[in-house]
Amino acid sequence: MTLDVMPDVTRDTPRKAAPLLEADGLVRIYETRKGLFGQPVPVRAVNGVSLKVAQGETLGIVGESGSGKSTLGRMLLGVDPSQEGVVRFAGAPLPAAGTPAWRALRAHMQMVHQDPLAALDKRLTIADQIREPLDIHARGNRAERRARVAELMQAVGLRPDQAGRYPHELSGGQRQRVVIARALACGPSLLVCDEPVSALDVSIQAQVVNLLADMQAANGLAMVFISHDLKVVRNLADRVAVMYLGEIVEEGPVEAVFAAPQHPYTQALVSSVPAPGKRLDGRMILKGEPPNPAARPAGCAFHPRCPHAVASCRAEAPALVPTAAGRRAACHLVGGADRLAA
Amino acid sequence: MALTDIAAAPAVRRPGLTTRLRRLVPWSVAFGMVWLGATLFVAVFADWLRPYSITQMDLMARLVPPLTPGHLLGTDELGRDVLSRLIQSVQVSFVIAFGATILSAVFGTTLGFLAARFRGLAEHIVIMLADFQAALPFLIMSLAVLAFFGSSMVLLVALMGFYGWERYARIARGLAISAGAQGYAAAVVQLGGTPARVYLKHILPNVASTLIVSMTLTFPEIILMESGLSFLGLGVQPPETSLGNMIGFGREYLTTAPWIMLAPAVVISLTTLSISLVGDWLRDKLDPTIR
Repeated sequence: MTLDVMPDVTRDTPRKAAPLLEADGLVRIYETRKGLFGQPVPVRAVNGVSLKVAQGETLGIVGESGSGKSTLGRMLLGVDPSQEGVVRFAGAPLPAAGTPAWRALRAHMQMVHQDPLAALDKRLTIADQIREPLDIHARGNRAERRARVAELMQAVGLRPDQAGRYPHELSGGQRQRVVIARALACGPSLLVCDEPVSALDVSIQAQVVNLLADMQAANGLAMVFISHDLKVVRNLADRVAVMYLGEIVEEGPVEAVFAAPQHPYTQALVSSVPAPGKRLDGRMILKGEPPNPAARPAGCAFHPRCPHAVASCRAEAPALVPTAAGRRAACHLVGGADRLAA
Repeated sequence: MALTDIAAAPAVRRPGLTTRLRRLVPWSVAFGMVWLGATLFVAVFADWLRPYSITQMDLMARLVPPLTPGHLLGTDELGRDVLSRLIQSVQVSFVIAFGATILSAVFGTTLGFLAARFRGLAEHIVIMLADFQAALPFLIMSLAVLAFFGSSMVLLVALMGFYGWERYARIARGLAISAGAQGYAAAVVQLGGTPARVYLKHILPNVASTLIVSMTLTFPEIILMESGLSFLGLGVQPPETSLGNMIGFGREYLTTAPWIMLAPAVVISLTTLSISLVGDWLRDKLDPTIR
């Protein structure tokens, strides 16, 4: 998880460009208080996460609810501060949230939210909202902004006559298109999508995912795609990072990870995806729920639910180490020793 | 666009337009607008509309009932024309009530937004001031201030303006905090918007409906508060007159000459009713989700 093991990994990835976004040892601790006078209990929502995203690359982040995916996404944008570690964007550490430098950087890194209706101001027309980043970052004059809004609306598949509509007059898929158009208005180089399709109908999901893929191809932007939907991530991402309880347990090229998962948790996740015509026999079904992040199990956080757990799993937390070409995994049973958990 | 049409309505008398307008606004709201427009007109042009001076006494015609020739609304115990005094009162009370309502709304909302923006110490100070204001009997504070500095129009407006602010501060703070936790405000922050843009362009229009309703409540309260102060002799000083002042002095003649008191009472009731009607209508019209 430290920087010194990272170069080995990136050297093997298909893209050799310098990373656009680089996170190193990110930690985010929330404090929860039990009862009125209870001691605050620290909850490590994100626990030492390091990752890199190259220019034009899509990194999928998958994991269960509560695994820290969304918090990580917000930290990558600098919206949430990290207690430890650093996020570098284009080589420079992110400025503190709310500072003018941070605000100016918003033109280069944007977010697509999960719930498009909540993310839009219900009192402004969608054209006004798509134009807002252009107003904020003072791009072009009035006519140029109007032209850019029309261009963006066309690019995301909204009709020109919908410009004067209000968010509640649009369907869920159209609202998400508005949010995507707004995020792309200033031509960012990084887009963080936090569960962008999970609030949408299945029939609309594919359209929005395709739209995101098209937009990425057209604009060459890097994308961090946070989702619990493995199929969507598999379609869209170049690399995938699997999170469990605030830590990355496995990372690698998306096809390789999903075809031959190394970490037992990834194996369980992959086998949980239903496939038509296949029976449920022989699947690895996880028992229990993810442990409370406030009471993190000793050793490997996954060991209480892991079917392959051995004594060392309870004692010592495994490090995220390179295992194969471009892949990393955090499991005692994977890697150096040839005891692949198959 | 709808608003300008309505404002222009009384002047234009084409049948096509009135039919269209009737479809646009319910008759109760139309009544409220016409009443408010008329009162506003009276308040602005009071000096030209008054048939007599407010101090001109006609001792031969004391306490004459309404509809007496020359005194449409009758006269009071000193033979002063009630209509003239009513017109003057509308002007004085409107200046006080509008000035104070706007002052308290602006001051309270600003403090509330500042508290929501900075939280921490700033929030504690604002809440403490609001609690202090709420705990202090306002009438006693007004008495103290007016007794020390003497009564003047400016002081009265300022004092009344500080009456309602704590309510706006609380409402604005609560709404801004909950709006900040909602997606749209966070999304604008995330787009790089400055706090001023987030609060003025996004949060304020979204919470304005609640504030407008609160203003329609404050307005009559301030008219009544001013009446109370005038009645105690600390508000508008005679021979100058206000709606509350007229009611206060007309009270003694309630059984023998009720018109002295009824005229301003009717004006207060109709004005507050009109403000509520128009305020409610305006709130719904400004909300694109209710159409």
